[in-house]
Amino acid sequence: MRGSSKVELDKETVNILLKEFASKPDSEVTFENGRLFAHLSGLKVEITNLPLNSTKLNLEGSFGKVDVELSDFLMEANGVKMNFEVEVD
Amino acid sequence: MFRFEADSGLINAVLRKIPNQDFLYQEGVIVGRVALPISSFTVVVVPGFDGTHVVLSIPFSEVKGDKTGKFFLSKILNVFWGTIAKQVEAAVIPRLRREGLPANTVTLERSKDRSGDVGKIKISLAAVNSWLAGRHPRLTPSVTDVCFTRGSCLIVGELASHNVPD
Repeated sequence: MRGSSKVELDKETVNILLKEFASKPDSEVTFENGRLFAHLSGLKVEITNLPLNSTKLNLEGSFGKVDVELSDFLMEANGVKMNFEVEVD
Repeated sequence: MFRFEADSGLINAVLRKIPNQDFLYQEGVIVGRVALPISSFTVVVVPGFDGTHVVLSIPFSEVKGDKTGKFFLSKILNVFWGTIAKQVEAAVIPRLRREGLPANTVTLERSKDRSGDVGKIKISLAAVNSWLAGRHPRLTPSVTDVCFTRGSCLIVGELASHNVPD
C-alpha cells in the first residue's frame, strides 16, 4: 500500500541533527538561511542547492519492509521541507 | 520544531499491519471491521487529542454486528465494557513492556456524550515521550501536538540535544 508524508524541520532542529550526525571534531556542518555550510579543517564549503529529489531508501526492520522515495526536498530560510512517497509491504 | 504529516494512504498502509482486523482511515475517522468467532462487527473509532493523550473514542451506538444487530451489541458493550477493557489491557501491557514502554502508556475508560456511552482508548503522550527520551543518548524528541484531519494525521514536536560527559 502506498501513501505520502511531509516532514518539516525548523532550522534549530536541522542544526541539532547536523551536529549529531554530520559533524566531527575537525569538521562541522551547519544550516543557515536556507544554505548548508561545511567547515572542513579551514576550508569553508557553502551548499546552496541540494537536489535530493528521487532519492530512494529501502528500510527493513521489525515493522517489515518500507520503500521511501524523497519526492521533494526544499531548503528554506526557516528550515527544511521534505515530501515522501512511501510504500509499505 | 518538527512536523510530520501522514496522508490517509500512509495511515491505512500502517493500519493494514494490524492482524485479524480491517481498519480504514477515512474522513477523519477509522472504520474497522473486526472478526470474532461468532460474528464480525463494524466499529467507528474517532481519533483526537486532548492535550495530554491521543484519544481513540468508540461510540457504542456506532458498533454494528453482522448478525447480532446494532442495539444488541451496544447493550453487550455497555454491560461488559469493564471486562473487555481489562482483557484489552491484559493483552496490550505485556507488549508495551516488551517494547520498553511503561504500562500506563495505554488506558481504557468509558464516558458519556450526547450519543450515549463512548469507550475510550487513551495513549499517554508523557509516557511515549519518556520512551522516546531513552532511544538516543544525546537527542530527545518529544511530541507536543497531534492533529487528525479529514485526510491526514499531523504530529508536531520538539527535538532537544544534550551533551553527555565523556
